[in-house]
Amino acid sequence: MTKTKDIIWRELAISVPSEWEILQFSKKEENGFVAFADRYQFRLELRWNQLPKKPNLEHMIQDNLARIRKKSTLTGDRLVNYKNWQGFQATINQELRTHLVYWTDDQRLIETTFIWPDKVDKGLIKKLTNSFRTVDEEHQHWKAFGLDINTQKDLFLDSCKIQPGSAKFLFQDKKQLQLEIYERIGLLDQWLKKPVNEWLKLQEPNGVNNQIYKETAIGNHRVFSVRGFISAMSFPKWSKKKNRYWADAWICPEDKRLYHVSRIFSAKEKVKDELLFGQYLRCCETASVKGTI
Amino acid sequence: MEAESNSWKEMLLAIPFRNEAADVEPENNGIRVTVFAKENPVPLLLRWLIKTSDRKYYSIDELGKYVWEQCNGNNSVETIVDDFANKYCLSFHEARVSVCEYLKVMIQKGVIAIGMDKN
Repeated sequence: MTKTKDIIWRELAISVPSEWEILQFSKKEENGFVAFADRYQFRLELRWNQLPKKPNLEHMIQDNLARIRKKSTLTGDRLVNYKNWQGFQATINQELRTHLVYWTDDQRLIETTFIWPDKVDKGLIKKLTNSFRTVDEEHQHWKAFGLDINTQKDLFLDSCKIQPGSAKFLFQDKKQLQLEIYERIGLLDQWLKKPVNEWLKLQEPNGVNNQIYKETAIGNHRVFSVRGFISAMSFPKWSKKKNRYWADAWICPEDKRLYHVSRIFSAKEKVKDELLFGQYLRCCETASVKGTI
Repeated sequence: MEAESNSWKEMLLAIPFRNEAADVEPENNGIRVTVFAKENPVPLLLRWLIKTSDRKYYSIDELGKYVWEQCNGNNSVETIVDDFANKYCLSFHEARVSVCEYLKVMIQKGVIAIGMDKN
């Protein structure tokens, strides 16, 4: 039985084999894609497109086949169905592919392309298409690159930087009133020469004031926190206590990576002094326990 | 499909070899590798005026040192990537990108060479 992991991207969730990794992605909301690869080649592309109304999927598949036939060498094509997914399987330019389309309740056309190194694995297609769902939760949920993020619904993904041993997501709102940063960093022996609480202090943006530093133990995690205030992110910046600045950092004993989450949000927002660990950012199962400072 | 469908399997099966003529000395946590320069950048007529060394020195950090040590002519790139991923707690593709970047630079500097299996 293939071991799988859950990926949630743009409120689309799918379980893929554990060894598959996201190698390409777009952060666009209306239309974009995520491409997964095993260790040797790309295996799956998931593409979404927000449309005003449901297209005729049968016509779309036929058009798609005709277009490919014009441009490429296409052999052995046949129509296939997997529950609510429909499409075709064919050898295109000597590469065996299964192309499936699906219409979601939130008005999105989903197109998946499986690439097969030798033969079609129907069991895997069934498993993946069955695991697919749209996510509509209280928060905006993202799960990728080892980060399990629950951010505010009204924030948008401003940047997503992925490098070997480092993943960083930055969310903010259109009026630049709120900002959230989520990070997962590896290779700690090579660069982290300070204790985590000292490193966390260095991440504070200019102007953070009235800081309170704390340390909380949750399971086998030692979470370091800072709670403070900061002026507005844009002009005018009269009050130094316009916004709150909250940040947590910890090293997950399971994957030995440093996790960091920070929030800048209005001081008027009513909040309990809860940890961001677990609630906003999870590293492993232990982190699903909510913690209070 | 926009994602490139070509495979990098061939690259993973390649076998890197160290330049046996290179001198290696420890330096901080990494190594300093000295190799003969491929060519003298100074034009022949000016060599009496500008003295240059026929040797070049490269500093390789701790991670690069590990990659260098694995390039013994027995390990494929894939084996090196797997070992690198295990040692530094990285995913396969994180390790692949890092190792290939080190190999690319070391090949350019003439510190290692790559061999391909005929089969």
